Amino acid sequence: MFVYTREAHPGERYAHLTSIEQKLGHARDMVARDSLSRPMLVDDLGGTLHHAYGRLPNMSYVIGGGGRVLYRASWTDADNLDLVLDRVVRQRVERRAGAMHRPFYAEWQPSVVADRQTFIEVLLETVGPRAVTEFIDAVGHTQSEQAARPLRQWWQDHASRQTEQEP
Amino acid sequence: MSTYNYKSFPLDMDEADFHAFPTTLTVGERAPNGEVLDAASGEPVRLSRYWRSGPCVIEFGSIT
Repeated sequence: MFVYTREAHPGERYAHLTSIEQKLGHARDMVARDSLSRPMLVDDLGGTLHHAYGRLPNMSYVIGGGGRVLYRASWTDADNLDLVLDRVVRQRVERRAGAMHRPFYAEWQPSVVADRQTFIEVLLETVGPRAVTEFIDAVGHTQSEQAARPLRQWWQDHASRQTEQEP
Repeated sequence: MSTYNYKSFPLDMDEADFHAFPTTLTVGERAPNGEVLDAASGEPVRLSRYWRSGPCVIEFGSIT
């Protein structure tokens, strides 16, 4: 299932949330845009459940049938979830066949490709220019201007292309 | 709530939340339960309904 939280990158087309009706509307837009078939659930306006689970913008969990946390990740990654779910399904099959299982603890720090250019292109299309400039400024602030430079260059090139296309 | 639903993306990219995440909740703990709205119907539903019949995946996020 998907739990709708707050707008991570509010902007012109999707402003910050001020009512539960607006939040429901944004969630329904996302279902339509991404053709989601899984349940879309909407947290309250203050983000009660979002806080309880860690308040990150794109985290994911696997919850066992008994209601205990089996897996948690600060970033949703489909490959990781495939691995975990394959294992969960296999364990259920083995238990039903009579195998005894004992839990063990594991930690892991995987990484993903940080394709920020594609990210800001999607941000521009979905939300608008303000979200793009705020994101680039945040990269410059939290990492370095060097990290932000290619994004700023893309943004300047984009603005130039827009100017050239104007009649 | 005004801070939670911020108007502009924070310059620090919510770094404190990312740092706090590993200890916010740990594997093996009972998953927080609570009421949410089903976007399709607008009706309230308990989160536990989805793990009652077996394991489930919860992804958190928004359109932005």
